[in-house]
Amino acid sequence: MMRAWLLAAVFFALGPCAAALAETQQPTQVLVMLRAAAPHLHAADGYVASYTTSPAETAHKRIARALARQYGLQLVDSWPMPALGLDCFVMQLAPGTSASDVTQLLSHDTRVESAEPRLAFHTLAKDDPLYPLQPTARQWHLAELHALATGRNVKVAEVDSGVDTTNPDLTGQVIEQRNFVDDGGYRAELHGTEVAGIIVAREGNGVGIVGIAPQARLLALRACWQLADGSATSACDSFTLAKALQYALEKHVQVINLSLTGPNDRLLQRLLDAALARHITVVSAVDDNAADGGFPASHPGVLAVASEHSPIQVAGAWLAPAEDIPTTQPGPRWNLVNGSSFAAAEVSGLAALLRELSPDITLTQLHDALHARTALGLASMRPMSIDACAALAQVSRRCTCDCALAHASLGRPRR
Amino acid sequence: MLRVVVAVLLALFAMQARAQLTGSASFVSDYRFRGVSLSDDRPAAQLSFDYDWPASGWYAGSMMSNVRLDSRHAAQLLGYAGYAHRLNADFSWEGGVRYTRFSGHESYAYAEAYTGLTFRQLTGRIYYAPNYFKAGYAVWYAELNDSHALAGPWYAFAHAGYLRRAGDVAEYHVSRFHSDFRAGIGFALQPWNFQLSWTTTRGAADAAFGYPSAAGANRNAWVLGISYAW
Repeated sequence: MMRAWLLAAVFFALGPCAAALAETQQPTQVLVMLRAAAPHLHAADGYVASYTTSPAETAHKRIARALARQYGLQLVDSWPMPALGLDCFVMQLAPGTSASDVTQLLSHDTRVESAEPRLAFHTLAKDDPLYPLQPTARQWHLAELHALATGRNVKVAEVDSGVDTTNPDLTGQVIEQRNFVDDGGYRAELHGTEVAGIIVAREGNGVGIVGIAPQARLLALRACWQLADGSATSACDSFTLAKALQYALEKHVQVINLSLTGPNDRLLQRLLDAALARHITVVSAVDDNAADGGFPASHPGVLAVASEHSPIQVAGAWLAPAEDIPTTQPGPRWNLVNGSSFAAAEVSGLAALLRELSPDITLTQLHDALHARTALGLASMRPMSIDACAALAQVSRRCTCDCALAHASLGRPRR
Repeated sequence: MLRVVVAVLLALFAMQARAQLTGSASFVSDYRFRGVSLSDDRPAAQLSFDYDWPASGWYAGSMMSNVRLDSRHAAQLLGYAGYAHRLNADFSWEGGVRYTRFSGHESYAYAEAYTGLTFRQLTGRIYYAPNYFKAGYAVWYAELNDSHALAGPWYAFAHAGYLRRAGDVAEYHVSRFHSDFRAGIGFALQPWNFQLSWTTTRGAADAAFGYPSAAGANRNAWVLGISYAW
């Protein structure tokens, strides 16, 4: 019995490391992209321009099977990526083969648009929640912000682990739950539930916390999976993330929250570019262990969000509270959490408020609203604190938080 | 001439590696073309092939279907080729030509050109046939097609078409317009696809547009379609 407890203790202690460990291991699968023709006339298409109902999908599967045979791979899964005009196929490598060698060979095959290893990602929560209480809502004057905007009708896609909607703060706040991890049912997990609470927790229901955008419509897209019970540490991979991003694009969301990190990935970069081209606000957490903040935070156009106490300084990143954040957990429970995952969630909520006030706001305008410029009007090369009141005041052109617009013009972050 | 043929064959061979061929066999309870039954309200079997070169944007295809024209069974042979270009993630445009002929009914063979724009699932096309069904006058046809994913493999689709013929219509004592509508649901479970739809037409009689006569064919119909792709 004692041995079992010791094993359990070691398992939980190593939990946060497990995801990072997975990223250092060699990929065992590759993603193979085949070009999909632009929608066009077919002899007997039955008036349907849908990508997934097109007979061409069957042709792609036949080509993928031929590729798998030729390169000694096993076809595992597939997913259409109409936002990129591609079909993505997952193929298992034979034991002892190198993912980079196979992807290089595949990339030279004229049938293949591109190929890449299936890479591992992980969420950015820390499992040490016992720090003094420091409510985020107080720093950002949340009640005053909500007098102007609550994120009403703004669709936010949370690409994360599963969200538990039985928590009273989340009941009715999630408009859709989808599982992109496996063929099984949707699962409620810690990290996803914690991030969701920060973005959309119900306001004025007598329990728990208040989300930054309590009237936003959350799509809880499960692309990551919890590694152990009781630990928020979760892992994802480039294929599950790509499927979720593709779905977010299909659903025309206005904000995408990515509280996770991993290596640079071409497919994800292209999907992020497609999202940015559609004026979707993409928010990602900065990885304190990566000099450039890690991917996707380092991707141009993505709002990179770091902890206020981040040990690294990522140029262009935004700083937001990331320690001792009270938030929801599965079931009727709440706890304090730490990590840039939650700073990103706060900024996603804030982006939802700004998108409600200005639905067509461009990335540049959003940056300008959030950006406290120097006295000379120059953009700072250091990470910058966010003045939420000033941002809302600037976008709405209305007075809030005792007229924060005046502060905005001076470029002084409010506290 | 031989050089040209060899050059074309070599070009096709070079493109072969990048081409994507799709075949599909379908069964429809009534073959409705622009709202008009070409199978005399009877079932029809169809075989089609689509050839795509996605990297270049070119595509081509063909279809064979059994039809019933002027109370006689026949086969329709249809070929088309075109070019489609994706402007961005949402928009794409296309243009092409299509040629149709019917075995034993050469007097109905005709060609038409088309161009279209697709926005996500919404597609609009305009067709121009200088000698529609070889009736001696030009016809314009505009269509709008849309589909929407429902739960799981289910989807809904709708179509509206508007046809206008040139030339004198006085002899028919009718208008020069004809419209058709279609709406239905589908169930896509690759490689199978099932569709059930309701179709109806409005406007002048079919004969005014050069369509083959289909005695007793109704203007409204439920159509069930099953197709298998490979």
